[in-house]
Amino acid sequence: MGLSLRLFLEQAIVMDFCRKSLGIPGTFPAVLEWIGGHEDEMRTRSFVARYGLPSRWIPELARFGGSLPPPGDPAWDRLSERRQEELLSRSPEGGLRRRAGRLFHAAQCLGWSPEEVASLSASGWSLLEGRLERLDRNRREEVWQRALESGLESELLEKVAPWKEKEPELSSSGSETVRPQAHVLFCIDVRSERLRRHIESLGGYVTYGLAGFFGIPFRFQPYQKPPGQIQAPVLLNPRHRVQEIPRAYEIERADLHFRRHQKTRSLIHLFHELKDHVITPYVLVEALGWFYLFPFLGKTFFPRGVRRLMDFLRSLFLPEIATALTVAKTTEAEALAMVESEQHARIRKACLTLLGPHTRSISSETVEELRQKALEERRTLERLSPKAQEELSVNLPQEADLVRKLRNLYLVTTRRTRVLMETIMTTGFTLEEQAFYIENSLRMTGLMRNFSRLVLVCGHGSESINNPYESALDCGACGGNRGIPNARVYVEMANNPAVRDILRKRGIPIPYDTHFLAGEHNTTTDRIEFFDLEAVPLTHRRDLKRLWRDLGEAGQRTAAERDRALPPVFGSGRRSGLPGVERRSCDYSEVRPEWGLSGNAWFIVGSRSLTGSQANFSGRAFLHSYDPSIDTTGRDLESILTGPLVVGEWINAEHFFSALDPVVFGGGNKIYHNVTAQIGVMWGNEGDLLVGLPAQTLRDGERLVHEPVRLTVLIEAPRGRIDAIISKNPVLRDLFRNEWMLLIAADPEDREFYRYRFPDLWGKVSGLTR
Amino acid sequence: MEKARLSPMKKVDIIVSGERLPFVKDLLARVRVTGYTIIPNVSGMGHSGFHEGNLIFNETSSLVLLMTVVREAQVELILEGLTPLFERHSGIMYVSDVGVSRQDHFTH
Repeated sequence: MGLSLRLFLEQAIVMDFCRKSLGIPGTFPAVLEWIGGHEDEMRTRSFVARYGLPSRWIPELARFGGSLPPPGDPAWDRLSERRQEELLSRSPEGGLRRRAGRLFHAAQCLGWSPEEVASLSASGWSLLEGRLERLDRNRREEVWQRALESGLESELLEKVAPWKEKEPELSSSGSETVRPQAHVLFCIDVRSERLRRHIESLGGYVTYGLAGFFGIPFRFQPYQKPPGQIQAPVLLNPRHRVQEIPRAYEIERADLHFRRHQKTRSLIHLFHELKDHVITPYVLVEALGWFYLFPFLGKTFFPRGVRRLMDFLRSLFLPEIATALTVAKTTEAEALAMVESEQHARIRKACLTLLGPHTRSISSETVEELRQKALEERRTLERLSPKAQEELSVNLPQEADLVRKLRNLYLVTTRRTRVLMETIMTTGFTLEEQAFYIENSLRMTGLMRNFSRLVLVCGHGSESINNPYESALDCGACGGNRGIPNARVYVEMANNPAVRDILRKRGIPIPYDTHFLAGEHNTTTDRIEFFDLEAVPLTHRRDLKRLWRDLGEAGQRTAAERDRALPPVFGSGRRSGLPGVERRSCDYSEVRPEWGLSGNAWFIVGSRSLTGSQANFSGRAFLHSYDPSIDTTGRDLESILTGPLVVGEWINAEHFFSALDPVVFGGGNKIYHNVTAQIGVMWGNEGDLLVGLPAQTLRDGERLVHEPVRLTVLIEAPRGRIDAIISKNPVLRDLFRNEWMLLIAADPEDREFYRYRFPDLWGKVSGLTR
Repeated sequence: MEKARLSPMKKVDIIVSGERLPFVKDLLARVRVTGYTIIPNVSGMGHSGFHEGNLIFNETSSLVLLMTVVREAQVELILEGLTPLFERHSGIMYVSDVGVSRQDHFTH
């Protein structure tokens, strides 16, 4: 629609211009024909359009009133000559002057003093000039790009340089005798890096990084929400299903919650119906419009207060309910029993409604007989047993009617049974699957022994309102959803004694007093919330309290660090501590709730001895834990490189191209965004759906905050192992050999860094200083 | 025992990357192929080098093998539909003669 309007207007303008200035109709053939007959005039017109009217021509044009002569006027020939003179005078001057100018520029860029320039020998000068001569003008951008990336690469190598001097550790898990205060598993996300650094700086904590779905892919159904939310990277197509259901002790409140939720839903539905109707909106605005004034003013001037009030009202009407996730898989017999008991209840209800109160006391055998009859594929004329007939007191037509209604109204059919069985059977994970997923993730990160008493599994999610780009701030490894369901599933599995028995046999002894705990890092406010606390043993109360306090402290430090990097919040006046970041999370005019993944530049796969707990990557590095000494076959590294790294590259490329061309690849300015039909955003009323990130994600209003660089991948592993993995996987071959990412290996065999360049492969990185 | 009679059919094997599988499935549905078998995560060597299968965290990059048994007339249709795919992406397809004992199982 926008496009067609624009084309229509453009056509009208072209028509008008051609008629008035050239005296021809504005059609394509007419314009072509005119150009054929007036080539010089066309060139001169195009020259003027491009460079403007040269001031030297003005006296010549005085008789035309200072504007261009009419088409076909003999004055055009004279102007054409003038144009050629002008072009000649604009061309770069050859000879000595040009060379001197070049030297001047080069000297200025390199910061040379006049003495240094004077001391330049003839050969030195010709070398410099030769280099400048060879530099293709079209490659200038590439040189700048490489310079930017090389600067960042040096910065990275400087940060990890201490690794070269370290003695190879016997075991990656550090000292075997002292247990850390707590282990914390984080997502590889660049925003976890800050929190990891701060929590480790408090002492006693050991952190690990792995993809934020914690290696467990599933389809999730949140409580009272539609199913099918995929909690895995888009590279995977999960087959497991997990449901969020109220805990057993919430039975009463869950019932209340359910009824109120239904009511709210129908009210919202009614409201939308009225709003989208042809006539009712006029009345609706008159009647309800005023009520919008209070939230509007409140949200504008007191966003935090309004949020607190809204939370309070919501907790009164729809109280939060403790939930559990269906992680364990039911056996076929169990599933059958569940379906059976559900159908029995339906049949009793049906008898009560259809036949009357005398059926209250029918025996279970009769109900089962009815169920079997309803489920029978072939319709038989056989009647119920005499006992059942007596209990139900039905004649033949009544009996047939009852069975028919059971099938059609109460859905007691074979088909329905199969669907229910299928749903129950695909929910959850078998014991073997649980052990596989937990073993896999622990082995991959290198956390295999010396477990602390508390292991926090920390997913992450963001919090903002009025933000169509919210999922870009959530967990990429969870398909753009919040990461907490995966953390909760992980914890449920890892705390299962049967799973631990299997793991012990496979060489991962998790002590009996180790408890896994699920948490979520709110990346907008840097608060950490714990989940399923009712499962924490009483013996771990003190450990939990210490962890909670330390995470609070680390979160505050992280928030303060982040807040300094964000432009000041309007109205807060100060730039420190939580309130600033908190306001961003609830302000509906906030265009930049957090920087998100902007600034990402490095992807480091390695142990903490490489990244060092003291090194500050300023929230620019994806950190994936990996222990090359455990993974002798390279399978774990292969999984990391083909999974999380590929997703990391997508994120990097998305930021790179959005920064490179905000209009074509990015999302342009967020202020003009128009959310369209819940499928995407458009710019105002025109053009296409926007594909990339908005300018506010990448710029602070004046300058680019995200430097557009390709991801530099640093892997702690023998070069041969990396080579073998790259050559076996087309996706990695394409990414590394075509230089979509830059690769450096930290080879533990000789403790040196090597740069990957196809096809010569590895070149030693010498001299780490810039 | 009654001697089993085998009817001639064509077996089509298609190997593509997991990413292209929805396209192939869609194509087979459109040419009314009612059944097929998929073996995910297969490894192998081809024009574009070695392809590792069985990646834990990536199902779209590894290869899948899809087998189906069809009438001869359908082979042409499948081939026609796959041509644009193979023009742009790597993958292979081959057809072989097979005999089936219950032909009505494979035809509609």
